[in-house]
Amino acid sequence: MKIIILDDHSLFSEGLGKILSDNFKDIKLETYNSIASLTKKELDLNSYSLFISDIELPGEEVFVYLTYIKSKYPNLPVLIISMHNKLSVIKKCKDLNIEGYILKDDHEFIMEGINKILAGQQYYSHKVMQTLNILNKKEKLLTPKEEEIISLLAKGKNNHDIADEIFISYNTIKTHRKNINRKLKLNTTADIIKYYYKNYI
Amino acid sequence: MKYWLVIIFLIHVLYSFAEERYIIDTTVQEINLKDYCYHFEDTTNNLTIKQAIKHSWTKLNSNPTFASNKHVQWIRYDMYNPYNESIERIIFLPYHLIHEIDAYTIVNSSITNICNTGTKRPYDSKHINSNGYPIRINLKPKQTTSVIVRLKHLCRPLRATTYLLSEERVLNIIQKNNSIIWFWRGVFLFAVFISLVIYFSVKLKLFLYYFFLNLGFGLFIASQLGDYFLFFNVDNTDITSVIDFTGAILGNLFFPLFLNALTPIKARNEVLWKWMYRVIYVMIIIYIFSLFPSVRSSIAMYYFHFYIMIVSGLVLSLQLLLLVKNIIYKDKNAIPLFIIYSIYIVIMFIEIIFANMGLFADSPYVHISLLIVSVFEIFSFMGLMAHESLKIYKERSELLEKQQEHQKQMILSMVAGQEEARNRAGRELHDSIGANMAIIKQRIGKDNKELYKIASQTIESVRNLSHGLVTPMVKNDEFADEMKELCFLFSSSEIEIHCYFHGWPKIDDSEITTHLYRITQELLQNAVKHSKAKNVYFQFIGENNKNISLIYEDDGIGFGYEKKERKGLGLKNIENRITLLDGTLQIDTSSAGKGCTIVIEVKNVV
Repeated sequence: MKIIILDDHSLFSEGLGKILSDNFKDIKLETYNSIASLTKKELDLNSYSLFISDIELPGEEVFVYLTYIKSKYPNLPVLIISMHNKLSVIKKCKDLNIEGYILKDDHEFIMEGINKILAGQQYYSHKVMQTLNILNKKEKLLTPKEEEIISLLAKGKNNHDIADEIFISYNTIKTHRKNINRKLKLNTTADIIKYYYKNYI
Repeated sequence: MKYWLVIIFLIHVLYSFAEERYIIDTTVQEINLKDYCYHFEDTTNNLTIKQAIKHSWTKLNSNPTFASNKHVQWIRYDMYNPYNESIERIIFLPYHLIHEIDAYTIVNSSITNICNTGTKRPYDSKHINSNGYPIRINLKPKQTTSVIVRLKHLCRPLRATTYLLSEERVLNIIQKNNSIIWFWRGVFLFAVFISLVIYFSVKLKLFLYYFFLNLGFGLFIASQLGDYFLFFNVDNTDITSVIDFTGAILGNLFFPLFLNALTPIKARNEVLWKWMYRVIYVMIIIYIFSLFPSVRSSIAMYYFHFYIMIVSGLVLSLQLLLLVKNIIYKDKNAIPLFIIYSIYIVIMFIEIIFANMGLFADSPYVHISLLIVSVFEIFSFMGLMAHESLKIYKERSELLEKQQEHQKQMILSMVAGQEEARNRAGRELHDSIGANMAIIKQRIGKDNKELYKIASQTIESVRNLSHGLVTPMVKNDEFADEMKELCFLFSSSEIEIHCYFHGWPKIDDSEITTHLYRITQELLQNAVKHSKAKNVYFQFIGENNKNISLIYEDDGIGFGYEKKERKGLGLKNIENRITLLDGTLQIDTSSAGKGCTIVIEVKNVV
């Protein structure tokens, strides 16, 4: 079984290699510290079972390279092991159909992840999933203050009365009103009051 | 042949006879009497008319103008009325300062005093109204009438060009003169008033020079017109000459300054300029002396006046040369200045200096060309100044723009520097310390639970720290994710941060997204550290795919923004970035504990 490790951090590559050779008997590891040194070899990646990569290499566009690998070798599973726990990065990997994503400090899950990926499954570690879940958090359309404003509007108050009642300036009320209209795609106060009675009472 | 000779002789005799006395022709409305002028100079200064008649008179074949006048002048005109009825005519001396004018007629050796006038005489006897001295004479039929005029005007140039006019013509002249004189007075007062007002509102020295320049020449011209005699019912010859001096000196003093403000004269001719002003300062010293009545009534005044006249002439013509020099140097303002100035100065010379020297005859319309050229000068210089000050204002506003741009650049480089330092620290933290910690954690293994936990925590805090430090290179859709993550990371059990996106445009410019990211980060840091809020609502709202608003609300304790309380580095940072975005910041809060609302609006981000 041939595995490629792409990481500029040699200490980490060594550690990872140790874990892998401890767990798999018949294994051949190739470590590279940059995309440049990897592409120079002109390898046929189809002969490899797993591609382990960091997501950030100094001065190199890792995502461009990963996109290339994913299109050229669709059967080669890719596992990202990175320090990054950033939503935008993880989401990108997810969008690229990358098979696995594990944080470097989650090393206890590395073997579990690799096994799952080799079995043809996806593996995103628990912490990574947590970060991805931020996306699923849904908020209501209006903030509590905006709700308060439309409830006062429904009571027949004008912008000046509302400003006095909830202690914010007239200008801010105007901004809020503008944004309420924008968000609800409504134009008149009557429409807003209608919306209030329909959704809140 | 003899017959013809007699006729020629007779014509010659008749012609020479005609030269000696003016034969009235009623079809002629206006005639300059200089060709019929007899004259003698009374060196004793106190001859009576009877003594004067007996004096020997010589023919004066020029205008009766006496540039250096130290004595009383007597002039005589002989007029013959060939008609059968008597004729009314007016002897008219165009207006100038003349202290005493006494006119007599002699018909058949009988002397009649017909007029006593002049500026030193009581007001009632002054036949003056800025136009001239009209002396009415009655010419008896078939008689020769001699008109003798005694002119006393000591230590000053005396200009007594004399016209014989019909009454109709005199009325005509006076009417025309008055309309122009009043027009000039209006323009002069307007120019002086408006330039002073403009000076005090815009503080451009140019307008002050223009004010003094026109005040000077205005006072001077007004004294030439005899305006001060119109307004005072006492003898003010003295005051008039003082005002006349004041005007001339103000004009001399400020004309070079005015020209210099429009085209660089001083810088090109340092030495000449210095000497010119020395000469002008002597004028001022003379002026100060002339303020003493005893000096004014002495012969010194004669030389003073002479000095001022000559020096004014020199100074004014020198500036003409300096303007020519600036034209050669291709100064933009020099050509129009030269044209206006030369017209003005040439007319001034003709009307005053050359005329005082007797080189030019006065027309019955006394200073008409001077007045017209003065009006021309007032308006054309005003136009030039308007042009110049517009230019100055344009330059100023451009400079202001540049300054603002410069300030923006400064903020930009400051923010960029900050960004770079943060990035470096963040990356180092993340890539080397974080990664090394991961290895350490791995080496520790799960057996040493305490160390393992510490390592985990350290990695977590390194990650969070570097997260805040490194600039996220976010574009388009990623921005919303990045913000949501940021809000999530700042949320804790004490504070919940709600993040709303609505109609958010795709922003390609990573500079803008970086600013927005840092602003959000700064606001959230403040919220967590200081607000004591339980909930923060952060809205990102886009409009028409180009304008954006960030609305931050919390239910915390608020703060006194107006009092600059807590306006620390964070808020300053936010303000700087908003400046770079050309956005607006509106903070609505008080220390009353009613929360805080911050609205940031940026137009045309896409």
